[in-house]
Amino acid sequence: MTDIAIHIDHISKAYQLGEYSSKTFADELKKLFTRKKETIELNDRAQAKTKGKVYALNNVDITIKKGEVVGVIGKNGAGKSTLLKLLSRVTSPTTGDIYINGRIGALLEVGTGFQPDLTGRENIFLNGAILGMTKSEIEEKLQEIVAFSGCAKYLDTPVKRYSSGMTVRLGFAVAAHLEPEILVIDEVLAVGDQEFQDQCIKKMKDYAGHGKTVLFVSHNMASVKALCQRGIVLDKGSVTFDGGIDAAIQHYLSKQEKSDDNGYIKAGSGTINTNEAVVEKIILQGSSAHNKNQILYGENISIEMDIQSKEIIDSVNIEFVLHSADNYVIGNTNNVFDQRAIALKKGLNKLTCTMENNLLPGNYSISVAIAKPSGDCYHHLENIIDFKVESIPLDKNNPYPFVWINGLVKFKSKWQIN
Amino acid sequence: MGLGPSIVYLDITFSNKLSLNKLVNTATSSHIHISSKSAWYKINLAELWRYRDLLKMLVKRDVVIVYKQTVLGPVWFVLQPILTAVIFTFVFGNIANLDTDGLPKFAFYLSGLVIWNYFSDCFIKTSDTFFTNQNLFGKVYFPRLIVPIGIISSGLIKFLVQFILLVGVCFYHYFFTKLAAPSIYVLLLPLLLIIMASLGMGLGLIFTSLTTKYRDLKFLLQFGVQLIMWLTSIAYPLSMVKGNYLILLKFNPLTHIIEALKLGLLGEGYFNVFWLGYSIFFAFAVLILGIFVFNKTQKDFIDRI
Repeated sequence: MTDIAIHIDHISKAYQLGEYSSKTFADELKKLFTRKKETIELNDRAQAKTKGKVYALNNVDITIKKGEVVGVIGKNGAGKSTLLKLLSRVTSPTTGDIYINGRIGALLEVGTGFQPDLTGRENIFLNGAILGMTKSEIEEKLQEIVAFSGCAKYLDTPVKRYSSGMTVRLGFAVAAHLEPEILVIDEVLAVGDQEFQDQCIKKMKDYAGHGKTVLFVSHNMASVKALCQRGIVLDKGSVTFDGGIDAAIQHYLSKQEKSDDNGYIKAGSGTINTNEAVVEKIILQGSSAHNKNQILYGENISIEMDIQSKEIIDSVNIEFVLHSADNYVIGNTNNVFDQRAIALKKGLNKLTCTMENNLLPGNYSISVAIAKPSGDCYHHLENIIDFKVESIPLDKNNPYPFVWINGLVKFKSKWQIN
Repeated sequence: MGLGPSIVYLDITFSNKLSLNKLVNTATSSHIHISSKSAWYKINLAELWRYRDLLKMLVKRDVVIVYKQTVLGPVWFVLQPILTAVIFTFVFGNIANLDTDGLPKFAFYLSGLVIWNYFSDCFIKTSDTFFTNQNLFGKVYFPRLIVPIGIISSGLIKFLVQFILLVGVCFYHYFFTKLAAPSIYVLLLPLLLIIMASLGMGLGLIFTSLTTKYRDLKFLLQFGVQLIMWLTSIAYPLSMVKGNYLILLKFNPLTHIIEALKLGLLGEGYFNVFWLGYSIFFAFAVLILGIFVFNKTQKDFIDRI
């Protein structure tokens, strides 16, 4: 059993819905003397509930071996954060047990407990101690931490004068030098500038490479894929998939809401939906109308959309974002970039957009957003259509040597030799 | 379990500097069992000890923050009891003309106030533990009891600064006015401090645990502590109180501590072994109850606050 790092055994966590405390003192007294049967249900955000209990995690069993690098993925509300909170001992489970073998470092947030009035140096010691390091450990690593954060110049300045980026860097620098045997990490990577993010990924890869156990919870499929070998998909509090990371990402993405065969979108769907301007139908085709959701290599992509608007909207911002099969953002197009103003009339609007297609054969998906000029979305549909770029060239005279597919995009190029 | 040696091996392989400290740290914290059924009476003292560096940091933080961006810095520590004692001298000593057992008025009030302040500081600050630290507690685990222990420790530093002032005033009376003289009971001082800290922390722990559910208590506390002060012999000597009122005051465990301190430092006060024993028993009972209630609450208060 010594090769097991984390053993999660039938863990459930229930949360109370609605107001926690009783309205009156009399209610409180009544509650003390009567034991009500409680209704408990699965966590489904879409259904409105005001009373009872809800399971954020329901009978979850996970065993992680030493040295494994595991990614936990799932929609908002799937139970990822609850799992993290239980592992980091911020709260305790309703039923079940968790066994942890080895020093565990859980990072739910960086810079926790930073004291604005204290200097950077003082905060390194305080934050390190909060995370469970001893003073001598911190002293030993002080140079490294300072170098990693890149805040050497501001070490004796109060943290309240730091920019938010600098605070985060300092926080991560301390956390990164905690050196636990098991690292449980939330999406803290999504902060800081590119250079710093690269530094963080490198540090985490370093960890994984050194046989330490890493549990990484994220929305970002690209970083999960880059870091992990094993993937666990959570949905409504249960594990729905546990296996190789590629298969896990496939499973997760395939569970997202899609348009139906005729292009219609289920009412009320979308990560953001204000009901003011709604995409009702979307069809993606090649310009030669070869087959729906199938595009020939080199063929322009045409998207037809039905938008229902409640009011006249003078100016909207419509954006399409292209994703690769592992949900990496490849690129986007937007009517504002193309300097084409679009106004919506009240009722049904039919929109057509044609895109130049440089994609190499493979599987892709597209997200749609209708937004105000300020960027606030009316309707946002993530990965609403999956489509495939076929390895059949549109221009028979200009075929691509498909055995050499490398990457996602073919760039137009002109060659010259003298 | 055969886990110990394998961890040591890991440490040797992956870090060049292997310190004994680190080895101990990893070895002792290597097994964690998180259970829904963990008992309220289980308190991991070994873990608490391992986090002693955090305790030092928290105390340092509390003290250092007082200095930051203030001109007077630690002078603020002593200004408050001095001003309060001056007002007491004026109102109770000179206007109401209350007796002070023949002791110099300012010294009489100051000695009561200084130790009372320590108690009320411990109580009020500890009773806010969960509220002030909910952000921290919601993000990272460490033994929660470290925070209240930190509060009574930094309170002790503040007390010592005030105590130096008090000793200064006493020495003035010993050598110049000869109005007061120390007695052997001054040796009880460390014990009195422990009782005060235990009582303040214990009550604070109970209150902070209950306020996660009943916020009403927060309002009660604000004036409640003030009211208890008037039921403790600070503004008047116990010798002034007669009959049933005297019995009532004697059941207040704080009374005997204040009286013992005055007896030790100034030479006048009420001392009775039984009643001091009562105070000690009361304080430790409250502390132990507080620790258990706190321990039960800290497990999942973050879901409810």
